Amino acid sequence: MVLVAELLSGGAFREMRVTLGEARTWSLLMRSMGLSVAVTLGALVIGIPTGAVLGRTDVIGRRAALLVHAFPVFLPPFLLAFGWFHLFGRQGLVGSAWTSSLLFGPFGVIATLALAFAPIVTTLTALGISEIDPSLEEAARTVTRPHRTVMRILLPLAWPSIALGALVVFALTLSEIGVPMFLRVRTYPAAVFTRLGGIEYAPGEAVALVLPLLAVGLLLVFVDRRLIGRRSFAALGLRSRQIAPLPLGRARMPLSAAVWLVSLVSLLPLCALALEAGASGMSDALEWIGPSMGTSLAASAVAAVVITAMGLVIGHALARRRRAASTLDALALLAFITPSSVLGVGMVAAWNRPGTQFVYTTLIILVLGLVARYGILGVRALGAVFHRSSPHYEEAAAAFGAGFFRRMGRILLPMHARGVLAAWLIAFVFCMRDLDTVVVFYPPGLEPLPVRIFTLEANGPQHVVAALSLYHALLTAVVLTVGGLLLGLRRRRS
Amino acid sequence: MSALLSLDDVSVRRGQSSVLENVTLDVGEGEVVALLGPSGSGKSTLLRVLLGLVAPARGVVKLRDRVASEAGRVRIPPEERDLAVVFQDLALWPHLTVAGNLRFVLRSKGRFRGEERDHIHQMLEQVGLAGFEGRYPGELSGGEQQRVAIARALVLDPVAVLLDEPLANLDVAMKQELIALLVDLFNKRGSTVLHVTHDPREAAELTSNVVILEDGRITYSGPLGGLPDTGSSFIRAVQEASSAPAKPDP
Repeated sequence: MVLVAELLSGGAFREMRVTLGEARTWSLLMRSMGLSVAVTLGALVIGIPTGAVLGRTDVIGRRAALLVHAFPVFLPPFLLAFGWFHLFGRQGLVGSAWTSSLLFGPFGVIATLALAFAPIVTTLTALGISEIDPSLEEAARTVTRPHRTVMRILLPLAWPSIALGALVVFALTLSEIGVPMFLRVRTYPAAVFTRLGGIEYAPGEAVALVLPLLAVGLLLVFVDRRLIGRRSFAALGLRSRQIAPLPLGRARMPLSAAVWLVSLVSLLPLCALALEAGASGMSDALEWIGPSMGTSLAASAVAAVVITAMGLVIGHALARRRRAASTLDALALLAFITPSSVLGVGMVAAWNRPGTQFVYTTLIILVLGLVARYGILGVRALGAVFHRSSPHYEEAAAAFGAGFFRRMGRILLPMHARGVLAAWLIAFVFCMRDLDTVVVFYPPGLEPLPVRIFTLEANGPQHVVAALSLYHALLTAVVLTVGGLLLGLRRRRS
Repeated sequence: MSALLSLDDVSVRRGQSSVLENVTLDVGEGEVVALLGPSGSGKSTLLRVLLGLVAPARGVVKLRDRVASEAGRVRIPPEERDLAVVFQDLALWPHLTVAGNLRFVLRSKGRFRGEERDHIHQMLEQVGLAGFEGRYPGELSGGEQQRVAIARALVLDPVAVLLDEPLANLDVAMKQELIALLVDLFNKRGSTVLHVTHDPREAAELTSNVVILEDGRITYSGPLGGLPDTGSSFIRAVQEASSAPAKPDP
């Protein structure tokens, strides 16, 4: 809202007219949109078949393959770009002038981001398929072969999940500044960023430039409302169904090899980073890391708690179709899918004032930014959890005189502890990987780990940058492993 | 009469517990058999074993004397068994129209090429749904959906029809109407039918030939009127229900 007020003020309005009147502004926006479309198509091409095979067939080691394939999505994509650079850059392990020219250009951006975000489509496709009523699949299996069952019944029924995946990939790509900036490709969000803190410093222009992005965000919210809506709940559940996987028969070995190849490709950049870092890089990095890891952990943990608490209230209201819940959900979704530079500019405009320096110069600004950007994850994840739970549990408690907070604390939280933990975990990992939002307004001395790595990339020692990237990946792996173990424990108890 | 469907000493386990235990059952060509049992007795699992959706842990499943499944292996995949099923929740594919549901089945088998439209129309006419071709399942009433599921099951003229309590959630009037339709269709076609249900009155409407399944074991096989007094509470309930007149729908 502060951003809108800024836009409507006299000076900014004039700036807006000038900036938005330039043809290059619109051509850059079109270029960014084109890149986002290409990345989305790439992610769909990789993710849909991989998700279908990993989600419903007897492919060898499918759970492990899914975990390996999905891991990179929890890392900042520019870390993967570093990895590809150490493989295909001019000095890379298998690099040449030709591979380097491909990497440092639109093709490199599209390939890097499509591979980085494909697991989103894969996972949502697999989850969407697993949510389909088993009898619909069994009815098809009695008349047709497994591949036709997948193509004609399961995939069409899972399309809301796939569409959600496409929407998220498009939005994340349009927000991405790390990969295009590293690979020297000019994009619209990067242009906004450089006007806030680079050699092209022009904050008024930055404010003007976010207006078209805001319009794109609103368009995406409209698409979500019209095409996906409540059906996206089906894509976010934790339930797994007890039904035998579809037998692939003679195709089992080649398809297993194919999906494992796709999964292992996801890990190639990390292997390249490990080779570049070496033992010396891992020890040197400890001197360069500074307080960034602590900042990342603290800001992400607190933000994830707030996001989960927000998700409990708004997600519950959404699942029970309470008034205003849908509007709050739309606002949270808008903050997520609108390119993050819009949010960044808004945060600067709102909090960079004399009276609010206690927020703007401390960890609080990071927490606020992360909550604003990733609040939707808690809302949708917990909305999905409550959506599956019969309202009768709460109604019974209410009939016996329990108020909202008592019902929440004594009935819903214990019943859905696993879902709450999963929501916190997802929020935490997404906050940990964030660069695009916080890079615009992180306070001096409080740079999160992804920002530290990104800024060092330009002029720090390469082996240290590679090692810091690996530390980030290791930290994420540890968090996910511990979270996964806790989720597994809760499942066994329940 | 030679057995069209046969289970010989079939057992199915789920984890540590036994779902079916040494089940032996024959269903002859043109025979209509009701498989009666309380909830959780293994009726639906037995049906899924016949369909090839579940492999037995032990025993042999035969279709027309061909081994279809045996100890841990499905030898004939579900789509090659030529069996049709009507599930309790009907499982109509919601993204396909009424005609689309039937067309998917016909095209899967490559049957009636070039005359699909006419065949679908005739089938829908037989279940009283001519003109409903373009509707989606979500646009139909419960009874109409049941008719589509029946039409979909019969459109291929399968060797046997397996009914998994498809009438369980209907009111008495609708149930009577559909039972009459099923009896008519099965009689005209001479269909082999295995009707899974927990309702003895519903079973009696279609056949007097029943098999009782309790705790995964067959405890009786024969005419409904010949149920022995075994001390089983379910058999006693079946005896009482099948001898009592039907109550009118409230």
